[in-house]
Amino acid sequence: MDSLSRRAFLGAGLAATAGIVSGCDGRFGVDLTDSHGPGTVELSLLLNHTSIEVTRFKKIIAEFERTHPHIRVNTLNIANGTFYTKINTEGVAHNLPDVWYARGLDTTYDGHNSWLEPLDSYIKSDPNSRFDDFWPALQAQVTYQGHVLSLPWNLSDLVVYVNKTKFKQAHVPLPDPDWDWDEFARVAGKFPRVKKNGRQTQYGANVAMYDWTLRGILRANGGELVSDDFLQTRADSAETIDTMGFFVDLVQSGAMISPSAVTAGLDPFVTNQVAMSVDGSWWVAEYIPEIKDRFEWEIVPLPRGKNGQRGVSVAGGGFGVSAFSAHKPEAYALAAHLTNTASLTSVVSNYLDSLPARRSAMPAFLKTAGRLPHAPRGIEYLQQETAKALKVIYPPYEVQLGTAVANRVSGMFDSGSAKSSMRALANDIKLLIVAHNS
Amino acid sequence: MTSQQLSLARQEARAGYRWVSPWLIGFILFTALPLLASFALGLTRWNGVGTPHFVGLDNFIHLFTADPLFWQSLKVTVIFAAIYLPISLVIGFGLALLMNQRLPGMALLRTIYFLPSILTGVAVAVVWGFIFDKNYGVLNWALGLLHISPVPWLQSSFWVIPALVIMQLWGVGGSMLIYLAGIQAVPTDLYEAATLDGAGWWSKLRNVTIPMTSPTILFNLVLGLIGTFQIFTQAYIMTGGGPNYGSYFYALNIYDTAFQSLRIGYASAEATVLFLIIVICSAVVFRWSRSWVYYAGRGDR
Repeated sequence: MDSLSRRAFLGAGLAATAGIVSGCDGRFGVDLTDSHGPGTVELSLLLNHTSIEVTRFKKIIAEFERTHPHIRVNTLNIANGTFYTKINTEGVAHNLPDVWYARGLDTTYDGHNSWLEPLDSYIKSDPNSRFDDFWPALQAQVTYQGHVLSLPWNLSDLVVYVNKTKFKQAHVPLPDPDWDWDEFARVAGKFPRVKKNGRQTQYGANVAMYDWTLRGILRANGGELVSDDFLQTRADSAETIDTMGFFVDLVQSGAMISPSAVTAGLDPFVTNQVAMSVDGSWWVAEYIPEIKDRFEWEIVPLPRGKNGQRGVSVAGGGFGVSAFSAHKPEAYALAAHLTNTASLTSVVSNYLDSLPARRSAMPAFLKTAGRLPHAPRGIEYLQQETAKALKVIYPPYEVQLGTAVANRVSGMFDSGSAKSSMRALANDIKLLIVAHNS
Repeated sequence: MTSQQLSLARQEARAGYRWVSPWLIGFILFTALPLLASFALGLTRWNGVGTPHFVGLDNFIHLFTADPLFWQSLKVTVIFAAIYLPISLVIGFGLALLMNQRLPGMALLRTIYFLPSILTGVAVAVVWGFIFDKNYGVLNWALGLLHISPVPWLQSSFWVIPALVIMQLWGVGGSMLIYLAGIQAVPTDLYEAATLDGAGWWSKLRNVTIPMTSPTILFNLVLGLIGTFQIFTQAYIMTGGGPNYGSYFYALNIYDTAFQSLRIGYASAEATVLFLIIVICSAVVFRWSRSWVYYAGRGDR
């Protein structure tokens, strides 16, 4: 009996192990091929959104399934950064979902790895595609070596959020929309407040410094991080160092909060620490309910750089079709449905969740904003500046570049030396270029 | 030994192997084989797809001669370990001594001190992000009461490691519990004998408690060493390795290389080096422990 029990125990252990191992085949989602009968096409869709957004997505996916009764969509949402690990690991395993949320920042990377199916022929034969309805900057961002790799869904650009209440209290006139960075510095310098114990309770400005937002600001001032062919760095050019030195001076004078001192969850604009905040337009949807009537605020365009341009760079996302999909036409149909004007209006514009990728969905965005009781003034600048945004293409080593920029920029505000930090960044980028091309 | 005894011994051994076989199979499948695969992949250039390209020791040569981030991440990890490990050993042991008192509510106190060690890394990292905030963090508020200027905990290359050490020490309750078990296992007659000999608190601690719990100290030291070299979540969530790669831990470097750059072969070489470093450090600690760990059963030091 004893021996039998052991055998049974061991057998069960082995069976469980075998079960676990066989379950680890890495396939995406749940295979429901047999559950909907013959002829049903199963598409997997991977999202990188919040749970609230996914609820909205479900409506337009259900609509797609109604109009395409032979297609079933299995949706998986990964809201956090694990999403990119999943894309990377499934990409190398040639096991990507049929359709996934592909960032514009990753287009070159995805294209370089041949993970996304070129959509040119589908777009050409689709009378409803209206590719030129997408914002020009996004059209460029989803194109790799002349081929469209995804259909844009949304975007964010850079604007300046202004706390009007603080301006009134300090008797400082609101910025002229046609301002430049020198004017920005002059205005920011009027707001710092430091307590006797050394704790600073108020700053003039916050400037979010992601590598993609920096690209535009640097270009408007004659600088750059990497060349257009991604083979050279200009991070240590005099113009780049000058521009970054400008921000170091602002931080050292107390006019600007150090970007690395901003704690996640403690937005300096919402928490009333700053009079102005240069940040992404995606905050509009968050700020309206967060700020309510605690203070008055509005949006003004980014200051102009030394070349007279504002240098607004955008970062967007779209829906791409896996190069390994067995159902590419159906997958394209899903991507096209998710990114048509009606879907964008329904999911993006009606909730002010970032900006819709299509110009035709923008009136609904502005209408929604106009209806909200605490909506800021100046929201029309989002449309105006997005139309003129820079056509910045991001390198295939964009993620690693982001890590290097974050490290060196935070180090720059710590050391106070733009020159040494930008030289270190240039060395980092050179190593990235070598590693990428080896 | 007779043949009957031998047969019984074999049967017992077989039964033993059968009982450990579920663990053994798991170990072979999920630890030993991946470990060997990692060693082998360290000798290749591979992005995770297709056939790995054998490059011999190229990855290791590049690591040691042309990769500044390898040295930086190694330096950061070693500095962190050198600061954190001794402090955590002393605080863990000290807390265990305090928790060994017979006072009302001690069970509740032990639970409270142990709680942080069971919280998940990401949630803890977010909370500590608030605590370390330069202007609104509770830590700088407390320092302000002592007229100390705000410290840029996570914004300074100098302060970021001490900040992460403080944060990691918050979870010292786990080792405290192990120390407590070790302290409570010390025979009371030894303390009685020491008391009869006129020993005071310090003398009993030095001559009874510490020697008798030295195997527990060794256990915590080795586990702490291994855990410290693999620290990842805090830097990944809170600092991204910055500023200026000041908190770019070795495990974060491996993660970036493998899952951001898709240089699986190179990341495997980095992992192999980490494995060897941990093995060597553990071996040194075990060798050193011969001079200070006391095993009561053996009667020697």
